[in-house]
Amino acid sequence: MGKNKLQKRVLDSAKEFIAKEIAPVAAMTDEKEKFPLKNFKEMGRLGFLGIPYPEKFGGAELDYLTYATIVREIAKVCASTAMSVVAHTGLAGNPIFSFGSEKQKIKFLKPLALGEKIGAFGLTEPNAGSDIAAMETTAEKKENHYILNGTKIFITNANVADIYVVAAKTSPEKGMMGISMFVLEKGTEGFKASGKKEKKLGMKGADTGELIFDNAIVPEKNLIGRKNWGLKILHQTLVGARIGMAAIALGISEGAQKYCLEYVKQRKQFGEYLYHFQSIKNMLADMEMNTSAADLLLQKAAVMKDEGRNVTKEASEAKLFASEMAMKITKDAIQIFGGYGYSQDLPLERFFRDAKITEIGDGTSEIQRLIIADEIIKRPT
Amino acid sequence: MKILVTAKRVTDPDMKIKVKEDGTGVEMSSMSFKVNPFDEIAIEEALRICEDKGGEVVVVGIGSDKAQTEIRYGLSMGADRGIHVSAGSELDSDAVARILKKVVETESPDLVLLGKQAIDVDDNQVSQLLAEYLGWGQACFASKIEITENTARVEREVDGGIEVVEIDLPGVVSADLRLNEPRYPALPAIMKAKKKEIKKMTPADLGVDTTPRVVITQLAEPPQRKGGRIVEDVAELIKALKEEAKVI
Ligand SMILES: Cc1cc2nc3c(=O)[nH]c(=O)nc-3n(C[C@H](O)[C@H](O)[C@H](O)COP(=O)(O)OP(=O)(O)OC[C@H]3O[C@@H](n4cnc5c(N)ncnc54)[C@H](O)[C@@H]3O)c2cc1C
Ligand SMILES: Cc1cc2nc3c(=O)[nH]c(=O)nc-3n(C[C@H](O)[C@H](O)[C@H](O)COP(=O)(O)OP(=O)(O)OC[C@H]3O[C@@H](n4cnc5c(N)ncnc54)[C@H](O)[C@@H]3O)c2cc1C
Repeated sequence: MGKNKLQKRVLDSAKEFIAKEIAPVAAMTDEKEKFPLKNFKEMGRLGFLGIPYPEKFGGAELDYLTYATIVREIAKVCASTAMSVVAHTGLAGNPIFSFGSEKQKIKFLKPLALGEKIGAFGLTEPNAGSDIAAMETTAEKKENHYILNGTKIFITNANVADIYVVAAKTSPEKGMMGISMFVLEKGTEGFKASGKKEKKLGMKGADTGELIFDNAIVPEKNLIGRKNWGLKILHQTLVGARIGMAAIALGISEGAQKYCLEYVKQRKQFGEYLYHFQSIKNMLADMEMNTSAADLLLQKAAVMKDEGRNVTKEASEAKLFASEMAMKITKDAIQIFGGYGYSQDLPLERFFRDAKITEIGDGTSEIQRLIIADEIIKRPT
Repeated sequence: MKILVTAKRVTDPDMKIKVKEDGTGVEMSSMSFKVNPFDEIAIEEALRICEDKGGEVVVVGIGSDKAQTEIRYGLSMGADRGIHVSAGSELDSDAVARILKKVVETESPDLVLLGKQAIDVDDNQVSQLLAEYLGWGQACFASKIEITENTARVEREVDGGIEVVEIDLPGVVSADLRLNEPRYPALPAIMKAKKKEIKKMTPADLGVDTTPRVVITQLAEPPQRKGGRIVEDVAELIKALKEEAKVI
């Protein structure tokens, strides 16, 4: 699948920024567990944060494939930064873009796309992860506003965001069908990020926190779409986000692979370069085959999405395969480096730690398998 | 304020280059290209001046059709329009300066800003030749530029300090490394650059004869560096420096 000239120019320009500004601070971002605010703001100025959205909403008006490609390029050097971008552009931006009113798009999507404000997406709760229907946060209608009560956890960008897209039950008796989506601003009465910063295995530079709703007062005009449209909005948002997560997983794999290909030509043991040994060759071959396959699944899902087709299955396939391969490839990469791979002097151990979340976020691998199976079972035979 | 800036297509300075086997040039097939880094600085400066004072930035590129990529890069940084002078073969500095003179005559800019040299051949001659052919003042190797009503006050880094020169406008200024840090083009600007005008002309249209006056006869790789040697004592070192290295 060829890229046109313009996409290439966009990508070349992005690559230069990534190599010169993001790569040099990646290790520090991880070690200090510090959200990369400066680069995030700069990415906003450069149009990285609104790639798939129209110009009138501050976007670059490019396709989803370009978006996924740039996320992947970022993840090759710093997955934490890529994760923050995806939560911002995909998870927070997409519900507003796809279901929000014109006014909401101008007020909320535009500053997100321009990077003037940072976005977060709140779905997960202490008792509701994979099981969305178990959601306990409620939104009760009072006059011309809603009162939100509940807690959201594991929310990317929670402590750095200005705009939050959150799910709450407006009709709890309807279970899954009684969920609505709201957009909240930082400073909304009764709403705050708790300030707790999750200490994590990987993606340490991405901010992860909690949101507390204690009789939060949300104007009716901040409802996204219609009342009880939550499930539909969440479905579309998560399908899109899985393409982003697949891009992160593939980027991490490619980042690790690149190091391996250099190292096997530099390191000698038993008088031979490592690439000489068959067991090393096997790992290199599997890495290449699996990144190529993940690349094809990702491109297929992104291109189909750009064509406006339903990509429920394709997005799950891309995410599931790319994330499981990211685990395998980063594990093998450490193996190829031996003791050096285990050391924090090189980024291989960081790639390995960062890879794991791609099997969990935006739906776990188990859930992706359920989705894929359900999609093919309902096919007419 | 109308500023004419140059954008030369050069080999990517981050890539290793290889001399062709016959020594007549550099192996181009596997190279990637970009806009000359000094030209990028010149474009950035032109944009800053016009953002401050208002005006128009016109980017000129000379070369094959591929040179349009670098002109577009300038446009995506924010320049207003481009001029592409198509030239098939590699031109010498003198031909480039004579072409630019003609472009200047058709465009009548208030200032011509160029990179001090192109990082491929490092000739460092075009700005000086151009100023001479135009009969304009020149201020080369600028590390700071201040534009007033009709003069440019330019600081240049020289050994042991800063030299300040002032030239009348219109004039020619060339950009040194520390003049500024060029911006990265924003993605929407790259999209918009696609629609900006690039006017195409040929040296013949401009009445310039590009027959080379300088011919490259031979290129060679620098000699391989040999490994060092540890000497026993100072006496041996002095002897080696005298007799082997012949430097003292
Ligand atoms: C770093 C990080 C960032 C995150 N960012 C966000 C964010 O920005 N916004 C947000 O809303 N959430 C976010 N999350 C939450 C994430 O989406 C959830 O962790 C994920 O959906 C899984 O939910 P859970 O952790 O509650 O696991 P559970 O749902 O409790 O799952 C536990 C295990 O049981 C399995 N399981 C559950 N149900 C089934 C089933 N039916 N069949 C088979 N197996 C099943 C799961 O696959 C898993 O292996 C983030 C999480 C992390 C760690
Ligand atoms: C936390 C930690 C603690 C350690 N503690 C100690 C210690 O207390 N004392 C000590 O002496 N050492 C210690 N080590 C070093 C450890 O034993 C070595 O890292 C290990 O032996 C591998 O050597 P290497 O790292 O040089 O990898 P290499 O030997 O360079 O191997 C790199 C890769 O090439 C593969 N390879 C190499 N040769 C072949 C071959 N012929 N055929 C197929 N594949 C091959 C390896 O399997 C590996 O995948 C420690 C290392 C770590 C990370």
